[in-house]
Amino acid sequence: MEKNTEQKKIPLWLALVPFACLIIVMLPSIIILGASPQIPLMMCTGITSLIGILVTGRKWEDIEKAMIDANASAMQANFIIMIVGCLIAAWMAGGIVPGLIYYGLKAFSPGIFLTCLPVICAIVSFSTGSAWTAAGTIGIASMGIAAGLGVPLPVAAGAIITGAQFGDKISPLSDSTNLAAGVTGVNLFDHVKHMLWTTIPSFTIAVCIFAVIGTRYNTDAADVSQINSICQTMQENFIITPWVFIAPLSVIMMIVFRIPAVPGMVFGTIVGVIFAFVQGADAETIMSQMIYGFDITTGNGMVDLLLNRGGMLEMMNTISLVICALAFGGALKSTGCIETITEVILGACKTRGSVMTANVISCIAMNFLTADQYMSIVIPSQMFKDIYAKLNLHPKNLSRLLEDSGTVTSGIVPWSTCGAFYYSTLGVSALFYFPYCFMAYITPIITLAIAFTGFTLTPLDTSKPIKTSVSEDM
Amino acid sequence: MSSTSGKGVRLPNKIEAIIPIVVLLSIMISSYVLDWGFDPHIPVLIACVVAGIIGKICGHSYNDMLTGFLNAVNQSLEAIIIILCVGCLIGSFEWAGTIPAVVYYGLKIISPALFLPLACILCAIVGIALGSAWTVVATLGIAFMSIGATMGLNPGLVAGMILSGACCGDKFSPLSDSTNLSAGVSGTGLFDHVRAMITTTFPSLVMAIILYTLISLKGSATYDPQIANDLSNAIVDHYDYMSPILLIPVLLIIVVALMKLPAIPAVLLISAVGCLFAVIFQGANFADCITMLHYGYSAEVENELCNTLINRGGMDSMLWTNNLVIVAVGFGGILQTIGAVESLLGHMIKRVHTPFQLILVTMLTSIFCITTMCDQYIGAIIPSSMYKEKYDELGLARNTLSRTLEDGGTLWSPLVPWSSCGAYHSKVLGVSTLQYLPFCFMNIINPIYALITAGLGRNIFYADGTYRTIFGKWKQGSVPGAPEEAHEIAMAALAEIRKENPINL
Repeated sequence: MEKNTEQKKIPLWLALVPFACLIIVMLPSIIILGASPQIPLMMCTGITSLIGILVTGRKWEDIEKAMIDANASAMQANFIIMIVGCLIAAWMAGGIVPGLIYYGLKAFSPGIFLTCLPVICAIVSFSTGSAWTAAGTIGIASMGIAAGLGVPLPVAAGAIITGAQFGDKISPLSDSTNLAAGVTGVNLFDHVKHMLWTTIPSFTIAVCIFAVIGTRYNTDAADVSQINSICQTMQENFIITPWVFIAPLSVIMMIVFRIPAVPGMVFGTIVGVIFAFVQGADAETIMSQMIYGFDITTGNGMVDLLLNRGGMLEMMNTISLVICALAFGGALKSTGCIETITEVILGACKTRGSVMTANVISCIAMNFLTADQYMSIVIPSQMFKDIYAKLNLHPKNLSRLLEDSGTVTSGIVPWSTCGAFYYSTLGVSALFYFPYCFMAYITPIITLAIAFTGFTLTPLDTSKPIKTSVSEDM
Repeated sequence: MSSTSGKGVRLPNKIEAIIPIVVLLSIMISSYVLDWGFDPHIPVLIACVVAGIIGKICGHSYNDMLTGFLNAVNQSLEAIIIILCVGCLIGSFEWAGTIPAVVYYGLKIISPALFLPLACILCAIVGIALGSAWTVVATLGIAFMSIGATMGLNPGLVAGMILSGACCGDKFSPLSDSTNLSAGVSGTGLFDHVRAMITTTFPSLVMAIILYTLISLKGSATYDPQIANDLSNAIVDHYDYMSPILLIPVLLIIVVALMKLPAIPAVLLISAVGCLFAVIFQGANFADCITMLHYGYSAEVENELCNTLINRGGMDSMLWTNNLVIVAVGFGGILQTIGAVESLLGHMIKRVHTPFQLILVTMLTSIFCITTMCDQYIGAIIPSSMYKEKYDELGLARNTLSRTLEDGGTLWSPLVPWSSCGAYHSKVLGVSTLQYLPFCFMNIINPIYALITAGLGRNIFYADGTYRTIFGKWKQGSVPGAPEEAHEIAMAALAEIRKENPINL
């Protein structure tokens, strides 16, 4: 961008046009047509490029280069996501995920139903890397139990979503986790570790609240037949041994010892394949399952739903979304929209606290305006990346904030993809369960507290302190 | 090459260099021999891991190899994005009825006596329109196989004819992923690449068509038009509107190709036209537009041929290809970082002094890469990364490189039984690779023709845009695209050469 001085600066109203397009195209496409965000994003990219070419005099070559550069920065994340696809398929075939779910469900005790519920959902969503899978399986089963016990359904739904989102958020297998790390250029395992500071306290508080609520209901007489039948089906189809804990432990060890994500995930996959051989699968099946996903028909629909996941091709959906979103991000940047918006934000927010507050608000707003949690991660990341560098903040602070305010609040937007999914699976609308999604409130509050106190924030350049206001370097 | 000129980094010896290739080859060959039939993705990924371990032994750091992997993928990122856009394009064309219209009107003009040459030309035309030999084979190919069977023709001959046409169309088409990839990895413009290919591919196609005409005229046969009629009727029944107007988007591809619009806007523009046609003529709404671009067209009709013809396209349908591109290109990147191919074939480049030798070596390397690594993408990427600097040193244009990659690579891949391409074609057409191989005239003639003309010093594009036609005349074309630095080196080298051997235009 050396020729910037010659190029016309883009006025604020024009810089906001792509965002307006995003809302106008995306919101009806997702809510009414139920479309995936890829094609609407491509349309917005086209419009943004046209603005760049016609109004601000950018060349298509430069815009395309910016799109490719933006994508190049996330290519490692894409590759990790692919390997995660292999890993999930291998862990399914190896009976590792079934084993983890089995032991999770065994720990279930009806007496403390509401306390157990988020924990179990967290285990399932951590081991499958998907909040939706947890809500769509264990979640549905638990809703049945809750109805039998007389626990209000919105409370149960809130507990399920709290657990599912917690597990999804800290799971290195989750696509939103990978996405946040990828678009900010942070090592995946660093990102996960950094998130624990905000996520564990907020989850603990949420579980405590559910425990208190749980004392109001007598839940000893729960009908857990559905849970038991899941356990039984797992046992019939897989060899369930405590050895399966080796696999998640190996991933945790790799996080602790800071092994890079790609070899870490490859190692995890190899462990999964070894387990799969023990389960009696043949090489041919595993190879095709690592591409097309694990495939089993047990006769128990819920188990099938839980386990038929993974594979590189499933992950290619996320990757195509990343490619489209970052092409949009690149177009925004090369046309000068980001520059203008950054100036406006910096004009209004001088201090670190207010910048991060603006960031939290923009993430939550993206959830409401674009109806998609991926957008709430990708778009603010493109907007705030440079500002964080100016504050001498490590990008992992940004990636953590994106998840703390973007991922967790997506569930409380009734018309978002998450809200719609939870409504269709749990049968309770976000309008009713949102007061009980405690994670969605506690995590952003903790994040804001961090923003103003500076607790656990990491500097980009360790030799210098983090700036508390942008004007310091002027 | 490795970025760390650091301690203990060495080139692998020949045995180490060949281990990852042997691993991949043994898995793929045993898959072929034992008929496991799995996709190359995971074997390539395994080979990546093996190559990474070899690299570690040779002293490369993990970060170096990851960077090599990612750099290689990032180099073909444009191609990856184009592949997604092409998926959108095919989806919108299917919904608009454009592709079925091409088939419909194509079937009308075919007469039995000239079946082979006409079908070959039709395959080439549809191949250009679609940019995918695979789609041509899966649609027209199956239809022509059955028409050929009713005429009592050798199935190997019909399959060879289809592949000749389809591969040629695929090669020419600015929509084709192999065309885009070859141009991309060579760092030249898409249409510079197509222009260079015309000099070798077009004469080869003419020769192939002459051969098919001779065979077709020799063998008299009875023609059953029923299959073609059924397909035509199914198409007309299914679509609300069918007229030659629907062919306009195809013509528009040619217009856009002549306008030299950059590839991504061009493809997206034509997809938008496709959407517009779908809305105007087939009554699609906005929701359908999003669906056709993302998931392609899907409908259930009674005619099986028609089903395979229309249920195609969409960004989603390209994810399998993109997945393979990312891992395969990355594998090439790792091999490149650790210097495996240099170790195996690097000695050849030292003996190269003339353009002819360079083209020969490029072609052989491309064929070697496809045969050992089972993928036409690798067959374009590895030779280009090995030899592109040499092309600059000899003052050649980058589109000479991209053309040679296609002459050797793209055309060779359907002839390797265990390559993804060969396995696909033989399965879809129901003819084994070795059975159709002798009849793929185009695929056989083109590399030979390219080598002979290059040996005579003809059809070689230089960095300043000059080339010598097949009749020995020098001509000045537009300067082919190349990275700035490469272009400067090539122009300097060319000035040296021209000082010794001046040419008159």
